[in-house]
Amino acid sequence: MTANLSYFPVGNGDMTLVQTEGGHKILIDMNIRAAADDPDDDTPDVASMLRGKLTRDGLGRLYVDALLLSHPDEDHCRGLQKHFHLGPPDKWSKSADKILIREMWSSPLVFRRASRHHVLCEDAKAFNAEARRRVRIFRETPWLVGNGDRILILGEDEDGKTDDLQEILIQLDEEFSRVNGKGDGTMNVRLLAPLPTDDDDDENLLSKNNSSTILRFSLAGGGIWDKCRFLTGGDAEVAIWEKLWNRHYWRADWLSYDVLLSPHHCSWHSLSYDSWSEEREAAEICMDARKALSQVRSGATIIASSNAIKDDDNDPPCVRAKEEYEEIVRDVAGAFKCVGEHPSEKSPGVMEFEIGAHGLRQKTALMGGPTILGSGLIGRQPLAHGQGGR
Amino acid sequence: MSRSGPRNVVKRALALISGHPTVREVGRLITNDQTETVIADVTFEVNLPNEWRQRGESPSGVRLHEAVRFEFTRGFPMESPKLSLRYDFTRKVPHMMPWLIDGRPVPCIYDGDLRELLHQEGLAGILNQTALWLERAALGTLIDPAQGWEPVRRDSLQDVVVADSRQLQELVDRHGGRRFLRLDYLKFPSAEGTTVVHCWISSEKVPFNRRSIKKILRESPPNGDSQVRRGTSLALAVWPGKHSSGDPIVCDTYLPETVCDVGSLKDRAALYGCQTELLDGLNWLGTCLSGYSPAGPFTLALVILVRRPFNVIGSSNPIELCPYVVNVRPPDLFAEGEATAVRAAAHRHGISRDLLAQMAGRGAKAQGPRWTLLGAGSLGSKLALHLARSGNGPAVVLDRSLLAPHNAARHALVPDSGEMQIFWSGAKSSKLSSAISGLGQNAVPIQADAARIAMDGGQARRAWSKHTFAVVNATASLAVREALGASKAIPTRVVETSLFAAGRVGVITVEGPERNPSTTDLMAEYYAILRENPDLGSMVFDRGDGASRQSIGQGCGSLTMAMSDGRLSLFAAGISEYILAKLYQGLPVENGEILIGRLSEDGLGVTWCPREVPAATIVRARNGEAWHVHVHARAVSKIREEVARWPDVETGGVLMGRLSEVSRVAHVIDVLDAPDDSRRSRDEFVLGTKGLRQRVLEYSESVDWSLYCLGTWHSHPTSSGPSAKDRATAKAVALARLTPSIFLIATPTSFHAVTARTQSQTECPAI
Repeated sequence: MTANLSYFPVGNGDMTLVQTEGGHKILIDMNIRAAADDPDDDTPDVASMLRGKLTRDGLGRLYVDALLLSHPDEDHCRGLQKHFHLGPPDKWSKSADKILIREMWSSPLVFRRASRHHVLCEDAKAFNAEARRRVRIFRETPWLVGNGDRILILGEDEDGKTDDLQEILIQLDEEFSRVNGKGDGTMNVRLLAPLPTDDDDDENLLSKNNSSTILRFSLAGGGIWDKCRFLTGGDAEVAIWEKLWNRHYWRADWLSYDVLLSPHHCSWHSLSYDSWSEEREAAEICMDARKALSQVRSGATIIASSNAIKDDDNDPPCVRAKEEYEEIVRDVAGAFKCVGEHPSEKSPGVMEFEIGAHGLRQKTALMGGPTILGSGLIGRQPLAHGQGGR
Repeated sequence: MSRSGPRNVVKRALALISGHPTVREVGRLITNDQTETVIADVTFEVNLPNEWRQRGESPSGVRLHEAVRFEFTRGFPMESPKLSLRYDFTRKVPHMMPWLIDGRPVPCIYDGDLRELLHQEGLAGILNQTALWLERAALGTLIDPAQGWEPVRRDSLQDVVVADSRQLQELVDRHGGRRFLRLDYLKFPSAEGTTVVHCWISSEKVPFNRRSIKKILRESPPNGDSQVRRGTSLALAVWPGKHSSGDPIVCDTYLPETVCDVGSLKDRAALYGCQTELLDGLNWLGTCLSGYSPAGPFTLALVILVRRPFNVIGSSNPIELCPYVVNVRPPDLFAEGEATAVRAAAHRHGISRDLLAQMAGRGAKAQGPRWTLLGAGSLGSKLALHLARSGNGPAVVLDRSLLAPHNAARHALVPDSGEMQIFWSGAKSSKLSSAISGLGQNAVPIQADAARIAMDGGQARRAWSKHTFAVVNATASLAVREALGASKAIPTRVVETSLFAAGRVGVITVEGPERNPSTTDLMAEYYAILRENPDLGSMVFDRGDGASRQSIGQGCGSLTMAMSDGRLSLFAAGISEYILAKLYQGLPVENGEILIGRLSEDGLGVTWCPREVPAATIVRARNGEAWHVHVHARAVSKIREEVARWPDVETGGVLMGRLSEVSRVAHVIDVLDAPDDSRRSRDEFVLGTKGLRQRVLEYSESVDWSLYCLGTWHSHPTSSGPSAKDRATAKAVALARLTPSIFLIATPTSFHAVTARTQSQTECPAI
């Protein structure tokens, strides 16, 4: 199976499907807005787009092998309850036909109580409840855990709540190659964050954004190991990236990538402590954060999962961040791509990449039916018998 | 620039191009006011993998940003824009046109006419195909193993070599080799003043030596036309062998055609791994020609059979045929040595079963099933040719009659004009076989009466064998049907096809496994189905059903139906599609089958309704003559129901069906319930008479007496056969009928039968 990456057009939000050569499908975040489910609305119907890329199991259930919620913000988990089956897998209903999550990848944040920094939307609460259900099953009957009950905790809980979960716990900086309880030799993932908080960390570091899970995937392509490295970090902001650089500068290869999902929808706040809208061109780059985000390999691509990027005060997406990322990829003949502008701002679609023997390659977008029909330049019609051939 | 600029339609086209997701920019326009031509260089962004982006191009030389020239002529949008690539774009990729536009390579972005793509998919379709072509050229995936190996394009070639590709491909073995084959050719001047050769390679192997070669090389003007030369000569086919490792030599290099002379031909053979074989063949030919007196030139065809890594597009074989033509001028082999011109020739398939099967959308079948056609009349001839045109013509055509002028109304064969009509008189079987041989297939003609053949085991061996897929009876002859039903010399199944009601109803019957139900069982079943569908029955059983004696000449007549050729063809087409499908899928594995086709009200179409017919229960009569009773499923089911209603006493009823005197079979199709005044007891069943006569009459009249009363049945509550009383009763009531009466005894586990025959009366026995 060809490994590929798909970035869904969800506006300022994230929704990425990683498919490994070993055949596993890992969804990272979702932002399925109500308008996207409305057939009369032009918002891309990303739920259908996603479903079209999934397969059904022997019981007729569409499934993802793993779902990672990078952090519990609405633009990363919107639509979870509506489109994904939550609860015991034997309660899956054919009529509802929701997507089964074979394994959840969750940060230890699910054990944290709600607080000023930790106000959760309904979908995030549902995710937490489901994660706790799965942890409970693991604790009570670990031998009974199957598809739809599995969970992997990415990072230790600082209060010791994950101490008895070593079998389903991935430690910070650890590499792992398993999905849904099975090894996948075509994938290697390193857990780079969430980072432990220090006593002297300010409040900013306690925010949900900065609790984002940061993973660096190494994926095989064309049967060759490590053909594509994918760095993804939710909405982690500048302080986290700065910390990461200080932690790994001596082994910067851990941060290298062929494709980077620019943090927080191409936000300036991942690169700078200054406000773009207030300080504009005077805003300064945090060089350590920039270094953490610029370990490009040849031909690397940086993706903004955001609305179209304009030259204005908006942040995110921020035009100044875009310029910085373009600068980062320039030397390696790479590219900066915005999902909200692909293939056109008016009608964005899934941005897809294949991973082959020569690395990552964007799939060529073709002109679709509406454009052909709308062009007025000879529409589409069936070819009659007798034609064709040369 | 033009004063007025491009036409609006071109402006719109350019706007559409600009909007394509892979188009980076549309360059400055070059316009020509006189020719109304607009040229735009369109830069496409090619999605290269990360590893190649920094270098800016793929290993095959396709750049990250490729300019493609779009030339809109005055003919646009009727005509497609012309596409060309930069001057230095590599031509060493497949799907490249063999010509240039102003020195620019031309990509072959679509497997067909670009103008048709424009009208099918719009300009966006051309843009999409261009983007995909560039991407595949970059990735080296223009040849898609799933689609097949792209043969070297030879579109502009004038010389043509017709050859059965399968026969040539089958020459290729792992040892490598050469083969001389017979060549027939025509040479004629082209419009450009050059000489063009059209030649045909037969499968005939031609051994020759210094002496015999003179008999092979011949050329003369046909019919005194000095412009055209017709000749016979040789074709040399060569193929590669294996490496020293034992692996076959496979050429996976795609190179455009480069052969222009003998020298470059040898280089090409070396690329394909068969230079030794080529030189060996040419040397032998040269040796044999050295003693030849000056003559010629003669055309020599050369075919290099190239082993490719996977199947060639449109075939199920990895051997690509690369044909060339060259002149040989004895006593020299090549008059100008290595510089002698060699022309790449286009390969055209000979008409063959494989080609026809492929064109019919059926993969070529290595061993097409053999089938026998009985009846080469209008329906049979159409079936034979429909199936032959799909590569599945009959192996045997059997018909007893000669073609007559009235056959021209509907027969698939077409008479010659004028006085040549004298030839429209041969045996139908041989005329039809001849037409089938023109389609590259052999059909043995037998001019004989199918009924006699069927009843004569010795003769039958000429017409079919145990390997015959089916015997298709299109004779519309009741005698032939009876003979086929009775024949023990048919080791395969019979499929009958007939038309009724002046071409408003058609039927296909297919015998079941072991010929049960048989072709006569099925026709009896057909009558029962007609009874269940009174509107169909009224058409078929109408006395004026159209089958009437048609005058075909003074004193001559033919019992046939008057109907148009088109109407007959409506049915013939459906029947041949059915047979074609069965040839590939096999005949029904459990049951027989009846399909009834009905002409639509407007006469424009036919709807076919299939019905499975289970095997009949066959019971051998225990007395008298050797009759068999075939109890059909409908009758079995009704008898078992009735027995279940009266488990403790004997019960019974009346048997309906028909008799086949030839095969001595009573087909029990249906049963009528016993009259109310019947008496049932443990020891006997006495059939009543109340209302029975009327019911039997109504039944038979509804099917125009094709089904009638055959006798009676009754049950024995125990599994005992006919009692002495039964036999006595049979004998007694035998007086009642001309035809044999059937007494069927149903026990809980089986059936038994006795017959009785008399010469005196024609009534049903118990009535």
